[in-house]
Amino acid sequence: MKKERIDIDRIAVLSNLQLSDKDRTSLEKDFASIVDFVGELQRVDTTETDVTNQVTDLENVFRADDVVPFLHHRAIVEGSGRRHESLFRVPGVFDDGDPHDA
Amino acid sequence: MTRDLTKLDGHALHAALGAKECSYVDIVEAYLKAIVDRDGDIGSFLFIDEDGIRAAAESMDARLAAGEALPPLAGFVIAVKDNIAIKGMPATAGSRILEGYAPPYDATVISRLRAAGALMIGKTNLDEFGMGASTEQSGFHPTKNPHDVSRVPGGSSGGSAAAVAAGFCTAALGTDTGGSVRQPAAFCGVVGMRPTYSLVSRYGLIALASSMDTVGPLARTVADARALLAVMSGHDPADATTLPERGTSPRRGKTAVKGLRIGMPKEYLDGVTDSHVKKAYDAFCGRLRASGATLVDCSLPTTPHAIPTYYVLMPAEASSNLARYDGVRFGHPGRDDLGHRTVYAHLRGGRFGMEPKRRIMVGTFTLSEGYADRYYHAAQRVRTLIREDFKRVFDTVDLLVTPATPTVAFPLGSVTDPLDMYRQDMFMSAASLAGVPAISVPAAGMGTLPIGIQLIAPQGSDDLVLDVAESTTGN
Repeated sequence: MKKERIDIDRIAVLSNLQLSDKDRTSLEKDFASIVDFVGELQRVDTTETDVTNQVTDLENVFRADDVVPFLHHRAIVEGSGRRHESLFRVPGVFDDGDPHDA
Repeated sequence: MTRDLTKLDGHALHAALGAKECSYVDIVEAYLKAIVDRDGDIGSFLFIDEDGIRAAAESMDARLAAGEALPPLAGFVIAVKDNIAIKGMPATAGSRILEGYAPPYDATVISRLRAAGALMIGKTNLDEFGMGASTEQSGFHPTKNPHDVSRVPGGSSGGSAAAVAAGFCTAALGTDTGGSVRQPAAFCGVVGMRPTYSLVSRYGLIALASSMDTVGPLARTVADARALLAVMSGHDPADATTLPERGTSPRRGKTAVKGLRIGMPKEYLDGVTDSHVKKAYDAFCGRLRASGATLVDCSLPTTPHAIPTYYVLMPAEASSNLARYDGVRFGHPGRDDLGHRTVYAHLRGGRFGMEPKRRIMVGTFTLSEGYADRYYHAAQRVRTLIREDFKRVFDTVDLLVTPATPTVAFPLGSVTDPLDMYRQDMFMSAASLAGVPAISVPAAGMGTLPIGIQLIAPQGSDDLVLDVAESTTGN
């Protein structure tokens, strides 16, 4: 099994995580050993085996297409620290640099 | 009244209420006093709903005084792991990123327990989002083991297990994704059950790994755990994965064990390193034999793959489930002076603890282009083999008996390597991956620290697990 090349900074961008120097040091130490550890699964013969996504054996679970009034809108928005009247307020989406420069 | 109500189990409290020997208020005040006196040393709670539970107790006493029938869980005071939603109480999942969030609704398990007359006393500590086996990885404070405060209570439902063991509540709710109810139950000397996956609704549970998350009871006695599970289980329209209603099978009572074939899987016994655990296990098996069971050696060859499989699938699912924490809809809002990606990455980097960051990163890696087949899909295929292993072994035995943990509770701060912490669940993960029910029950004491024994049964055989556990422990 070949050793994976792991780019911690690239994975951090994909994960939406800004890492501190301490985080990076810790992850550089642990990440390769975790990936090695779970990589042993590649040695198990699964050529004839299907994947398991879920274990309920339930399929095509439908419910009646009934319209039910939803009364919690205000309570949900009020639970957020980012709100404007009855709406969530999100950060600007256009003016964005590299998140790891902040 | 001189009796210490915190020493009674739920059934005894129910009887005492019925006989008018005590009131709901008496029970609640006894627990609140115990918490004030002793939780400072243990740290099992993140939030105690003192005012709320006092008001609820008075209201229940008034209803009983007005002639209402005693509800099935009357007298049960429940502590709830802080990743389960209770309307108006904080729900942090042990994480600073959810600080300040209070859900506007009850989880289905909570509304069902309330309807059955149980009261909720507060929210218990956990490893952040359920990621850990010691409750040291809470974003707030570690919880200590009530049997020895220099040791961990296990995790991630360590706050719930410690609260039951310390007499701060009648019973507690935990969640078990890869062992997080059973392992702390074993370390704290209480009963902890992981039900068949999807027997109990997950609506209102803060998701960790959705294909394995379950809500399970922790209690002093098997009978109390059974009473909670009976109320919580069943189809929920709000959780489409819950199983259709099932009938309960007749209780097997004291003869539960007679005639059963019970397997002792060698891969589990090979992993035991602590002679006390081995002795307790042998003594427990001896009791099963004496009760009329046939114990046979058996093998689950995929057992060594369970931890690596779990530590691919769980982080993968968690990386997806935890993507929603960006400060907009829940919890701490973060800064407001930069673009959205920067704001999200800064908030998440600053507020998630090290273990969630590690697992989000591992999950993102194993799901990313070029790696998913080698890691995520490979683990999904090995999961099939693990599931088939259980199906095959359950063709020849009715039940499995294993130690719950390889050792007794370990000292705080003694497990620092993430892989060593992951290995704590070596007897737990396979049942989680297969979705089968399993219970940890306290074995006869060997010294001061508790030891748990695990019973595992086929999917849907929750009653069998409870029957055998109840007849073996005598409660």
